[in-house]
Amino acid sequence: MIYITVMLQILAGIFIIGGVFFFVAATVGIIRMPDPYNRAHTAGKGDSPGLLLSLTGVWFYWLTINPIESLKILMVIIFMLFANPIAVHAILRFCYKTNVPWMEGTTLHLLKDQEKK
Amino acid sequence: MIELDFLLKVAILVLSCTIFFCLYRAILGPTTADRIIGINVVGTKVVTAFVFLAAIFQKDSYLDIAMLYAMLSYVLTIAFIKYMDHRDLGD
Repeated sequence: MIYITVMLQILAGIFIIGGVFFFVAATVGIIRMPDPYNRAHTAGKGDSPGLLLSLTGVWFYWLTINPIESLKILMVIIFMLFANPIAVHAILRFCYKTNVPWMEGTTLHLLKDQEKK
Repeated sequence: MIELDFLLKVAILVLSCTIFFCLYRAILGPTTADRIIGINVVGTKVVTAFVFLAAIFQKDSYLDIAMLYAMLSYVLTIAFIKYMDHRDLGD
């Protein structure tokens, strides 16, 4: 039994380190990227895996303390798994509808080509 | 365990530092979309920090706060986008 506890806590540590790495990468992208489209892309790509990884890590840790209460963490994970990409999609659609200027050198306008047809 | 407690505290410190960088984008962002992105990311990070706090203090009531904050930050983002888009919250 003690082996299972130690294994779960080592797994928790690895998952939490990975999640925080994704969060730091998302922040670097939000600061350094040139236009709102790229920033929203980086925020969505970095946020969802960061939250999922770190909450899964904390879920492994809670399994060793109180397994029944840890179901709440699963509820947060399932909710954010759907909510976060939808929010980023809404942000990008808002950007496109309000004609936010593109980065210089953008050549691929798939949505504009679809509207012409 | 003691080692995991230390790791969680360091993680909360790193998350707080990145929240300040996101607030930089939320305050000084050139367009409205930048501000919405910054606020959205700050909400996600605060949820994660609350779950870490629950694991440090071993109190399950903090998880309820995290769940509530997750739902509130999602509704905040969608409502803000709808308001900036139509100047109206709609039906």
